[in-house]
Amino acid sequence: VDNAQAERQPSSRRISRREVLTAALGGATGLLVGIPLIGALIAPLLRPTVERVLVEAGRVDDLPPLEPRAFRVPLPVGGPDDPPVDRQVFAVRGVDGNLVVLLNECTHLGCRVEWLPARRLYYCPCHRGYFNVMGYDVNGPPPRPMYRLVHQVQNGVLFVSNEREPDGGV
Amino acid sequence: MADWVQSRTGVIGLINKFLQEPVPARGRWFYVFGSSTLTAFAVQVATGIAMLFFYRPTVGEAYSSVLYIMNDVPLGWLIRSLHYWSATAMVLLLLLHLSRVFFSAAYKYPREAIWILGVLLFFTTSLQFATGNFLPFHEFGYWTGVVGTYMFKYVPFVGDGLYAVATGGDYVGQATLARFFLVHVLVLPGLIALLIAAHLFLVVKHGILGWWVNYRAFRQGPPPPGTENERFEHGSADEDVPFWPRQAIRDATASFLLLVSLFGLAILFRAPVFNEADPASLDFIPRAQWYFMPYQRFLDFMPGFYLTAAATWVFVILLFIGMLSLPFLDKDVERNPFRRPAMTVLGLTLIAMFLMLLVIEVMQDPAIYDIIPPGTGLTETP
Repeated sequence: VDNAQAERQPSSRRISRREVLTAALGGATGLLVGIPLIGALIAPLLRPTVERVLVEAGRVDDLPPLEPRAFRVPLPVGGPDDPPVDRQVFAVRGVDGNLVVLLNECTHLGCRVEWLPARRLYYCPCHRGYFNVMGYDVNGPPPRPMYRLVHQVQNGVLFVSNEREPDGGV
Repeated sequence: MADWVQSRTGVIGLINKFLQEPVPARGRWFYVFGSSTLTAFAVQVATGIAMLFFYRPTVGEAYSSVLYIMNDVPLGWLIRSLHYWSATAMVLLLLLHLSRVFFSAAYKYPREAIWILGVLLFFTTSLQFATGNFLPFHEFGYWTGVVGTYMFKYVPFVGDGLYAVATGGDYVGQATLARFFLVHVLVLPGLIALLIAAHLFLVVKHGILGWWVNYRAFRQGPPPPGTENERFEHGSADEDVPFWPRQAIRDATASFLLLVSLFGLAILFRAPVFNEADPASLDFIPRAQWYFMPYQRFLDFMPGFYLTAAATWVFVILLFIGMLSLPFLDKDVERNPFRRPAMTVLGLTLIAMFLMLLVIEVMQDPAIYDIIPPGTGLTETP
């Protein structure tokens, strides 16, 4: 059996040191090429969380209980250099007088909701989800209540942050 | 000169081999869907590159740069409208090509790899259709981007991580636009071009499988065990003609008619621009692109309505796995659509479902779904 014949029968051949080394070098080269690419792809997971900012929304001192008031606030969404995105938030006072700030984002697939005064429900037109005035999901596909945002009230003026309350506040 | 080129590159021999490629003598107009899909892709590349001279992928400038293309760039409206209509043409022709291959059972031995590459092209092209709509940053595209990325949150265990990777942040914004732009103009087109090249290489290698009447060997049933029948094994047609000139002129005619139709559509119906995306505005009711409407309506009809977002992935993955494994599940040599009624009925059912669900979704009466006219709810306090 000459060498050429042995080459043609890989199953009967032992894997040589040279083949192992070549495969290892090739694999390592591929990995090194992939590192910057994968790094950029998953950068949003590696980046430190965006600092909490407080954005002025408007007056809430005259807000009666269970009556939502909508505000437009620019909230940061990505990296520190990315421009903020205007979001709508609802400020609602509970029966106990405590203020909650609901992010206008249907928890099903992220569409904006709309307050229906006659029904006293927030309604999402995308897949017909409903939330009650305090943001609890009451009908349709949303799997959880609306997210609540960390906020401060100073002299009757509401300041809203980009940070969600732990577990969305509920 | 020709000798020199042939000797140094071998390209002339390759072209001759391609032009002499045997094509089944009958059913020939059915073979133009594949080449027309390729022509639509070429239009996408040409008009896409043309728009890249003027488009700016930032949330502040994307929409105004699209308005600039539509209003100020010479023939810019034509470029973008052609891109818009040939996107629709490409997915429609791809579906027609897929149907032709399915009903003539052309995915069977020895053409399984051609089918697999075609399935990958089907999914990458669908992804192009989805990501392109987001780039103008108009209200329609913006909300399809929001909903499309939100679906990642429902993937078990890694959902939130996938959402961050897809959007580049906590919500759809500048980072999302950068990622969609990169995927739409570089990653997917490159991938699609490579897949098309491999797909065509294997078509030349194995030949086109035509209409079942071309295959006497098949119509007479499998040969007795133990006897060799190469024509049967390789699915060769009874009668072949060279690709050039008869089939070439059919492909050229179909592509020319496609281009004429695209120009007609682009001139008569310009690509819509909508209003600029405003995440805090209630003026626009988010809706799906027509291509994905049948699937959305299908999910709505499923009994687990409250699990639809999670179910979304289940059916996409099932479709992907089902399509990939089709040539390995359906290994029967029968190619006559009337003698493989199960597959024929399955194909017709899927087409009928797609069309019916699309019609239902498009024709739905907003009133019965409680869609309140915009602006009747709570708007911002000044």
